Amino acid sequence: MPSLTSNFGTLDWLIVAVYMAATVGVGLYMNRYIRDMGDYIVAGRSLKSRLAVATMIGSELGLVTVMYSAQKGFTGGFAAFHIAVIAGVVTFIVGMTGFIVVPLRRLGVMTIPEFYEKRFSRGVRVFGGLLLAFAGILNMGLFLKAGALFVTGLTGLTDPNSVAVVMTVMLALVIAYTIMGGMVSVVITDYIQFVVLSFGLILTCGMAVYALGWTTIVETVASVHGEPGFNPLLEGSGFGPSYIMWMIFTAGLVSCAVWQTSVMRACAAESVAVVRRLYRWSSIGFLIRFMIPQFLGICALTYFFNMPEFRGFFFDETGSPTADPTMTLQAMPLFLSQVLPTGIIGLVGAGLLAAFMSTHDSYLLCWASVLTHDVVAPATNERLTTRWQLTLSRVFISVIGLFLLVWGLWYDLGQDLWDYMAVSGAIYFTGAFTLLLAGLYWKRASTVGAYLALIAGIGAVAGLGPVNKTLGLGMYRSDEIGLAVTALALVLMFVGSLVFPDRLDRGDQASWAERAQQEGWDGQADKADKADQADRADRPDRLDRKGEA
Amino acid sequence: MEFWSTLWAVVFVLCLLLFAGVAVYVSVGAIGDIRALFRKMGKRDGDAKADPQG
Repeated sequence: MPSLTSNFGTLDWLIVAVYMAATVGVGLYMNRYIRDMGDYIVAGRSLKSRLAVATMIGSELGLVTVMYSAQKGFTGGFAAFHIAVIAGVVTFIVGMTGFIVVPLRRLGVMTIPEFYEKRFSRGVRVFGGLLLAFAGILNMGLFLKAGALFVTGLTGLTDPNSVAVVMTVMLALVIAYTIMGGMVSVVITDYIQFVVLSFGLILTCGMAVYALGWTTIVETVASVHGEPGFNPLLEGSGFGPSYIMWMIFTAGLVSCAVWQTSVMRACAAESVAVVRRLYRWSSIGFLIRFMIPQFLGICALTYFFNMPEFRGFFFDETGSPTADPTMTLQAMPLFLSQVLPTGIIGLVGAGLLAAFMSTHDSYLLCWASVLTHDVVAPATNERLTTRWQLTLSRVFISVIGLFLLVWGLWYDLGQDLWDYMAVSGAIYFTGAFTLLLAGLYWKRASTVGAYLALIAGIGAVAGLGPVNKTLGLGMYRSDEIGLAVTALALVLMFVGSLVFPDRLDRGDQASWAERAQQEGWDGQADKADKADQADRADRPDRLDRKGEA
Repeated sequence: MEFWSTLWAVVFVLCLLLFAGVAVYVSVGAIGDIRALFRKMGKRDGDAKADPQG
């Protein structure tokens, strides 16, 4: 690692400490509002539009997102912006159409596996819940490592022990307030983080352009990457048509409508109208959470390429970015440590570290809830009392935290962090997307088809760097493997459902929609719709009424 | 390359401005939503204490 003197000083440490203490204090205080699992997981379904938007963006704009997006900007140039545009456009379309998220909110489920049971069977719920938790926990396995690299780069800390101590303390704090406050504390801390980070990142972009100059940035990208640094359709940038397709699916549809942490926000919304508004308004957040960090990565590329004494750390002899993912990950925080002045760097650092904690709290809560709510509870025939469910969730949060510490130290990344995230998540979401799509919109989808699609999704693990090498699949990129697995899951769902239909799908039995009515799920839909009507009555603006009509 | 470079510059600036507007609107508006959330949850807790049988 290059030795650069960071601008991060005593004042910045003080800002970070005060900010952290305040965030954790607020989180712990929220424990007084937790009464049952509904409060714990979805904040009693009481979120209104603007708070829901703040918490959605606050949660998704995490330090890890900032790190992997900056890395993509560094290695891909301006062409990486296509990921951001896709994320924003697809989220907006989901908000307009209500695709997947509105039917889920109407069903009143708290997690996606809960939908699996309502639509398919309890076995599918338990299996899907296990897969979801496994992929989700694996997906967040490198969060700590990314956080450690950020702290090292930004603050100038070089002693690995002190970095490990900082990260462990932060993780312990997150675990403490997530265990105590559940979703209510997550929502409030996400809001604080949203405010600090939104304005902090906009200011940082302005300062970066001021320091480097727009023309220099464009010329450096052209010099390092050539045309592929601007045109994502060209393969040379590491992108190309299949990568764009993969991004439409992962960065677009999955991250807003299938990924459990986002769906939890939809499920926590007060009404269907709030869900739609949430997605429409959040679309700009889904776009910007990729675009701003990507731009900062591009600025880091410009900065280090034009500093001959450090160029060797980040670029090879031909002038291309180094293949070492650790170095490309660390470029952005190192750049910030040089460009931002004392005080501002402390505020941005505190915001990003809070973002790190906020992402952890959302994810810890999410996966622990899935394990309790969708694996243990149904496996014990729902005999767990509320108190036991809460206790078990808290135990799972602690165990997952321990895993993160171990995995973060052990796993050798070997690929861009974003690609690791997309592939590890794909173990779950390729199958989950199929189940949601077919389950919500195709009445002949069957339990056997659901099992087959979930099993097919596991194949996405072949896209992970070390697994890919071990299996000798180096000729296929992770995006190609991901797309192939998604197609396989869809085909298996289709064939499995036709060959092995559910008994309920036969002509003499009720369809799943009729079953929903018989079993009273429509009660949940009624509640969502009543909240919807109340929400509309509260909103005098005619345009919005017209949009929701 | 000229086309893509101009396109990304325009998209970046527009998105930054749009996000700044959304950030101001949501930051201010969400304070009211937080108050409403606490009111709702506090009221429900009060009801539960007044009627422990549910």
